[in-house]
Amino acid sequence: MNGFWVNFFFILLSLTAILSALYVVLTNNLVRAAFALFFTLFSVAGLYAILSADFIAVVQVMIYVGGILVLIIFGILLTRTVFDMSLYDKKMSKFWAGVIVVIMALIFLKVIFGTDWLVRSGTTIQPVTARLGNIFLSRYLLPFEVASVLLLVAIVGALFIARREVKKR
Amino acid sequence: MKLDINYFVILPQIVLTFFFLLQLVVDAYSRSTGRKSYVGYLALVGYALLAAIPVVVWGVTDTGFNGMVLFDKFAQFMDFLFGIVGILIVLIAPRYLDDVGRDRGEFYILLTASLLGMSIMVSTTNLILFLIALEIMSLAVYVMAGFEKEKGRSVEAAFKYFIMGGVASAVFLFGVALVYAGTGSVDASLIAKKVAGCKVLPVVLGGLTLVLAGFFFKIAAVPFHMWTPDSYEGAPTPATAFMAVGVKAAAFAGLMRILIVSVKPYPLVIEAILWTVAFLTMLIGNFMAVIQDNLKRLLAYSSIAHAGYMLLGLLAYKNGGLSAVLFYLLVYAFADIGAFAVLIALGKDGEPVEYIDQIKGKASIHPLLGAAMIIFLFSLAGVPPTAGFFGKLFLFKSAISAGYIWLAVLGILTSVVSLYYYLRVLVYMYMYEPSDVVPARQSVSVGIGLAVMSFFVLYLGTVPAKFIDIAIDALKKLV
Amino acid sequence: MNNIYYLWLIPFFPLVGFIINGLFGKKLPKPVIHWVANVAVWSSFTVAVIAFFDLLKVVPGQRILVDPVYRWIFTGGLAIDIKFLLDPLSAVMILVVTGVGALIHVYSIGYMHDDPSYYRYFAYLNLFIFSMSILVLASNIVLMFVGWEGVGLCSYLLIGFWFEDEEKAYAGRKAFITNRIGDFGFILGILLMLVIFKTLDFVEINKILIYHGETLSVTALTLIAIFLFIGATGKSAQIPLYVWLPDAMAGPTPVSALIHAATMVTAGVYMIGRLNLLYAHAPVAMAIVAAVAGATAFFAATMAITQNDIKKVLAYSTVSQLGYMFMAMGVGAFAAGIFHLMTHAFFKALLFLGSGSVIHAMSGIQDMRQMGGLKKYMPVTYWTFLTATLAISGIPPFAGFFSKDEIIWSSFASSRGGVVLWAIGVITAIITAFYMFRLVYMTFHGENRSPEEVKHHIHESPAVMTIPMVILAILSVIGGWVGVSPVIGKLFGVENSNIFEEFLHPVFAHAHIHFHHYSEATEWWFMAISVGGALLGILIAFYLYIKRTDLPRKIALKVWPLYKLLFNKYYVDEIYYYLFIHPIYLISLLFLWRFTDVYVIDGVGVNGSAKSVRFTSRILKYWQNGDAQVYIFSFVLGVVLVLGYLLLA
Repeated sequence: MNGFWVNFFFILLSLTAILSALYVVLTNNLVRAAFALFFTLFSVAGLYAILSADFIAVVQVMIYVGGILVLIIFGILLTRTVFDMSLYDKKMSKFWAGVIVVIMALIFLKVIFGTDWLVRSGTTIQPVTARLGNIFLSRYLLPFEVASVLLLVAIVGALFIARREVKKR
Repeated sequence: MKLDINYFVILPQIVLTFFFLLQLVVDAYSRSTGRKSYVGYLALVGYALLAAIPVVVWGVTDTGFNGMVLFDKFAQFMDFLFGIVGILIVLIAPRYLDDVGRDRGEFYILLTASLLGMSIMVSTTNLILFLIALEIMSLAVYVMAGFEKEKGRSVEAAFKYFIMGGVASAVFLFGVALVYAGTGSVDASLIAKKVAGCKVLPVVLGGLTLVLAGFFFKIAAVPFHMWTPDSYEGAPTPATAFMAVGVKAAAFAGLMRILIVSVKPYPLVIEAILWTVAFLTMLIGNFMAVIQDNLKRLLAYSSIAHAGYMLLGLLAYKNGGLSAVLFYLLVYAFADIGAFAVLIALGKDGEPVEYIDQIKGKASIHPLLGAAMIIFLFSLAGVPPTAGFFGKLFLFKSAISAGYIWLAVLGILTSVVSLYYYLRVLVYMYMYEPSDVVPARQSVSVGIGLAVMSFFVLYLGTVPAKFIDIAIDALKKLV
Repeated sequence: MNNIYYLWLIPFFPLVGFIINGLFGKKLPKPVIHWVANVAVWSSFTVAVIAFFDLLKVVPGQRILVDPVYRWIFTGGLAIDIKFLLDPLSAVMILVVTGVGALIHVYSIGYMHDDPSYYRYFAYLNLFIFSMSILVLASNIVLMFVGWEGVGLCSYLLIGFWFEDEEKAYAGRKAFITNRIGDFGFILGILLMLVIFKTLDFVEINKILIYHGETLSVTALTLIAIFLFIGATGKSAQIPLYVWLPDAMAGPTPVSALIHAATMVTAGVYMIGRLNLLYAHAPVAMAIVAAVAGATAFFAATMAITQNDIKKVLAYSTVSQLGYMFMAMGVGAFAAGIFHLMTHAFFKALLFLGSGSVIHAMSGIQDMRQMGGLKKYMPVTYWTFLTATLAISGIPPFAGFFSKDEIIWSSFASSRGGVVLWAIGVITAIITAFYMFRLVYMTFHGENRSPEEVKHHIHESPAVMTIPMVILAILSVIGGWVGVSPVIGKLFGVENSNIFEEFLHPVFAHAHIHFHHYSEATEWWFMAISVGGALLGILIAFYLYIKRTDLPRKIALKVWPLYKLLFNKYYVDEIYYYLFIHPIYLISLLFLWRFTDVYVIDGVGVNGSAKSVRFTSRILKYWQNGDAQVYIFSFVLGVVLVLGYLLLA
């Protein structure tokens, strides 16, 4: 792919991600929000692919799109009260939220354009999956193992919250 | 790449992981046989080991996993503190959980998990490992906050903490990403080396400030504190005590490590940020506490205020402020858990103490609990000869030596304000007729915990030198 | 510097007494309780006397004895010892504290006889003596601060002793909070001291000031002195923090005598005496002390005129007399200030004990308008009270005359004083004589105006109460004779008549305050003016309250606005309330609260059950409105705050 198409897809995917994310936040309908989230997650996966992070792109699709999002939609469809619920909230001030988002955006624009970026040139793009695997079992062995503890803790916590209590006495 | 596996440097974490898994198995087994769960006792053993390891190996330092894990005196000091905090929480928790009919083994399992996270947090400068550890701690604490899951407010507490914690983690992670983008490294100590001498990279500075914002959330500094009162109020009291002391201590320790490396290249900006946040935190924390009628909420705001005082110590990092913070954390741990423990001890079956009206005249029914409360609250207010006095003395002294006189003035003035609301609690305990004279249930473990804590508050107030020396020693290599 | 290894016994005995009575008092019979407490404090007094004579054995220039107990902290740039220091200054103080304290312990046996919390009272009283002797004997300012806070705590506990009464509990709290505002200054002073001197030991600090005093920044020294004085205005009830002392009269009367007249409230004066060198190096701070003191002496005296509560009159009088002491400190007449501190301890303690005796006899009535003619019912009380009144009015040869006259004269003669201060001193002396005799006449003379059921209960107090009063009366007469001005001394052919000043001289010798020299005739004239003023005050009181008892009312009506102003104590309490307490509460309540805790605002002051209802409803409301958004907004605002620097930079 040459530079034009890379830029084209980058802009397309970014716009999709941003606009669908905005829709997720602003809509009053939960089901629509969940479906809009699909576009956000998928276009982020596309962005990963453009950045030649092939493994992460695949994982993004498999876990977020294929796993978590489907779970969310199942959850909504199976729960009547949530399905019918309107997310309208009169206390939410879109104006102030907009103001603060714009300020944040300005700050980050300044950060991005104020930095002399290190541009790596001349390297060829290679698949990363094998390298990631190696790093996880060598240099990042400890974080990798600790992350598994994190998952275990999450399971314990989730089970505790979800379990039906047997009444004593 | 060489596999630099060094079991010595992760000894505390190994112990905690072992006990975490053991507790899981034992709890599952004892439940299937219908016996009472004994995981609390297991937790006591595990935490005692955690506290004992630093005492035994004190001074023997090493690094492992390609420099990812630092088992230095600082980490050892914090491990010791976490062990003590864990023991105290286990001592005071059963009574409360029993009162509300939820004495379940999971509480101690989650407690072990969060201590594990905390103990990793304080022994690494690698931001990725730090973040995973932070998440272990946070996840466990979210569930602990919602432990009374049939009570609306407990769920509310957990939910708010969870949502806000998610935002904070996202901000933190984004900051790490920016730092990585600017330097190509996620290790704070390498980052400092890489940016040293270069001109200011906005992306690195921006990343570091976002990381700071993540920390400010965990230590409940203003304006990142909004979740604190709600979560502290709704969470079960022992969980609240743990959040107010354990989580805060871990976050402060992590902040110290990151701060020292980030403040070197960008002293002006970081100091300005700390100044503002410390100012707001001391002011708003103390003033909001004045009008609380809910004791847990009151202590929540007071814990915000204490974070403000400790930020003052961070600001004076050049003048011994950091060791003052370490000492303060120790002192604060005993006094604050102590205050929560008194609330627990005064609770009745199904009716835990929350409002100031509920403790009216209790000192005449429980004179020892009254005396303990005086000790703890006076220490929190900084009245000599309690430990809190020396804690504050060292903090304010370092701030003044570092030239932050007006901030120290504000700190002392707000301590005066703080005495008002602490005293109000004591006035309710001592100067009213009790509404009912039925004494609360005695609990041996809470009694032991209270005795230990009152002893240490007085001990650190009368013979503080040794622990101050240790705190200074723990920071020698770090600064 | 020599060692004196038994000094720790002085605080030790009362501590033991406190522990015994505090822990087991509830189960002990009353005689055991008061014996324990009294033996403890009398033992302390005995040790103090022995120590005093040991001090006298040392050559005057080297009278500094220390008792190093143990090293408290030696780390982190700090060295603080638990060490006791006995020099002429602390010797005088400790004798006053334990001596007057012991007498009041005896008196309390009679006064508190019927109180159900007998043990608690004596435990607190012992704890007070313990803290006060720590304060006095401390060899560094941190240890002094421990005592300083300790006496504050005891004062709080004892003011609120009858806490069943809401108002009295409130008075206790007011005292504690006001003192803490002062302590804020004190702590800052300590911290600055640490930064400037690198030590907190009094002896070391004095050494630094003597040898390197000129090299230190005057601004820093002035700041330290002012901060510490802020602490003193709290503890010693000076403007602007005096407001707690009149309310402190809610405590039992012997407590008022011991803590709020004789000992604790003089701690600020003692502190300045301890650090006299520091103050001498900070002329601006001394000027502030003198100005505040003069204003306090005068205004407090005017407030005493219109009070009808016998203890309130004495309270304002104490504030005013403390003003005199600070005035002496402010003009550099340190010995005179300490001298007045001592004589004042005698006669003011006696006045309070006397008023306690009266209140005891009147079954608790404190309003002087219901008294009168008590002279014939309680002669011992009357005569001792009259002695003390003459002493405080400054009539020779009573104790107060010598000390007060020395202060008034010094305020004129000192290079740091002036005519204005002197005039304030004299005018205040006139007012003092007036309101004190107004009190005596209203209470002991004229017709008895008490209710019938009280009338036939009026009796003289038992011996256990009158004997301490008689002893204090004797001291109120002869106590001043140790500090006779040289001018008078010459008249009687005595050389070095001012033994007191000579004894204290080594402590204050390095301060080098210059006093102008005047002829003896001038000094005689000034003495005549102040005595004349006092007599004038007495005469006016006699005329208004014995001769023309109808006049006071008429005068009050004529100058009604002024009377009202005085009667309401210049509305200072109200002004403070609206200026400080109210705004703090309002800021907390409205501004901050509205921002974060909107929901509780309607619930302040609602009782518990209604609260829980509101609570549930608020959770639901809360949950659905999702205020967590506000929280996240605040969070992001914080992020913008910390990142904002980037945008500006």
